[in-house]
Amino acid sequence: MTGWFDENLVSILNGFAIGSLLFILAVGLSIVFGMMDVLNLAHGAFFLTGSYLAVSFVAGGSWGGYVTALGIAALVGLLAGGALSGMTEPLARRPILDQALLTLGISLIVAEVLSIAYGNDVLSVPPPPGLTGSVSVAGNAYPVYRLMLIVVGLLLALVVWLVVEKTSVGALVRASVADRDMVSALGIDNRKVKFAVLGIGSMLATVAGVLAAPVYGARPGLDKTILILALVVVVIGGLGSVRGALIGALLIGQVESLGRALVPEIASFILFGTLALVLVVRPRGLFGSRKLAHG
Amino acid sequence: MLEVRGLESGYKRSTVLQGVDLDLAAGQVLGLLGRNGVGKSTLINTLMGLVHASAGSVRLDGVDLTHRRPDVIARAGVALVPQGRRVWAPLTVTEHLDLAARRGRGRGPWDIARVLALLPRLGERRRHDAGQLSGGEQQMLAIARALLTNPRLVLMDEPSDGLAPAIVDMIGEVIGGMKAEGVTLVVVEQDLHLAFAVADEIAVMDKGRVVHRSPTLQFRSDSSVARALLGVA
Repeated sequence: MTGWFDENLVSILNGFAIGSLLFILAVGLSIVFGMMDVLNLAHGAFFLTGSYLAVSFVAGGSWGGYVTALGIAALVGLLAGGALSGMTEPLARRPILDQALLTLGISLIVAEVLSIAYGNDVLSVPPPPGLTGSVSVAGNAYPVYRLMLIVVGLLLALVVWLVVEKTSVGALVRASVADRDMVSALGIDNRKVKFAVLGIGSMLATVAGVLAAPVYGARPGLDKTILILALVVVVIGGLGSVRGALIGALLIGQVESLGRALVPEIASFILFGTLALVLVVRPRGLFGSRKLAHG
Repeated sequence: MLEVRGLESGYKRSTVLQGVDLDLAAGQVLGLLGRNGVGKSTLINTLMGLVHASAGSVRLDGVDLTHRRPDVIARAGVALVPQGRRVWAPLTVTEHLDLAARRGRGRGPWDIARVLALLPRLGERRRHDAGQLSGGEQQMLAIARALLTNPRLVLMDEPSDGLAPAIVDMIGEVIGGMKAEGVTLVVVEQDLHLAFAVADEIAVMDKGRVVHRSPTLQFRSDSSVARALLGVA
């Protein structure tokens, strides 16, 4: 067992890196879907936008460029999420599919614009200075930047969890997930809550894109890969549940990373097999309180 | 204070309310009775803005609230204690009270201390998630949530539903306490005992309209109306 652990330590650490990124992505997706029935399929495109912003600003591999990319990505995400909130408003009384089609359309447009601007090659982004090399982790060489990604990801996860579970703003968000009509019956405008949550959720997606760029680079198609993984996390964790998103993200991070390392030919099957298994045992996801489809 | 004229509303394929007229004076408690499916809950939800009105008008102290969003109607002074309680299961009692009090602070006499004096059981359960409370405690939480917005008008939809008789009596006392504070109430109720205990007047709905209205004492003494419209003796 110890031998197996040592052999696969790098894959396990990679799994944590993917998992913490997936949590940052999935938590916004999950809360907005749980709260407002807005399935934001543009989430992956926002992530990729962040990655390309990193390509543009981190070119020389400086801290200044890295921080600039993070700041601009945060701003772009916030604005894009706010705009998306406004765009989905006229569709609020229509079926989930109509809103999903709108966000799918937006994601296709964004991906195409990025592809025109940056081309179709895989672009790499250097880590900021001081985080470029490798360190020895239990005898295995492991990139410093990935270790930092794990730490930053888990810190962000902690902050998001604290805000949602322990603050009054978080209570408002959880109440909106549980029963938004009763929130509006208190005199609170649901649209403002949705605007804020979509804005911040999208900001987390673009920021995750910058953070991930030195590991995964930027390339066409990355948006879809990431979106599908995030959706799997949301479904496994349960709609609108922060704890579910965290457990789901860590689980899928390991399934994805270990699956690709140990049995690459059936890795995708294992990923979706996990999804199917969870849905058979718990149709509402691990921590969900609502069914995925209603009516 | 409340004037409802020719109100029509319903759901996708069916119009439930067929022209409701209803007037309510400030400080009055109206018991709204009727058989299942005659539109009592639809009326409550339409007044709160949760169901869209297709015709007619709703005015509160002269202000037109027809076609307004629920949050606008709530800020105008209407609060809802809905059927089935609809408390937020994952939130604690304290979180419910804080969320409601934040909107209502400084707009009237109700604050958390005063609401807990009326509903002391909630004070003992402050740290519990609403989902862990008994039905009666959830009902009290739903009442507290509505009161903390400092409403002028409270709409209560079947507050006794599914509760043990002793708890129903307690809910009756709480409604009495709200009335003593000058809150105007519409109480939809199947439990005639409770409705008679709290209401100044009784209105009866049938087929999407208000078809009868009389003071509670008069309604109780004339059993023919109850028999004809409610199917009870």
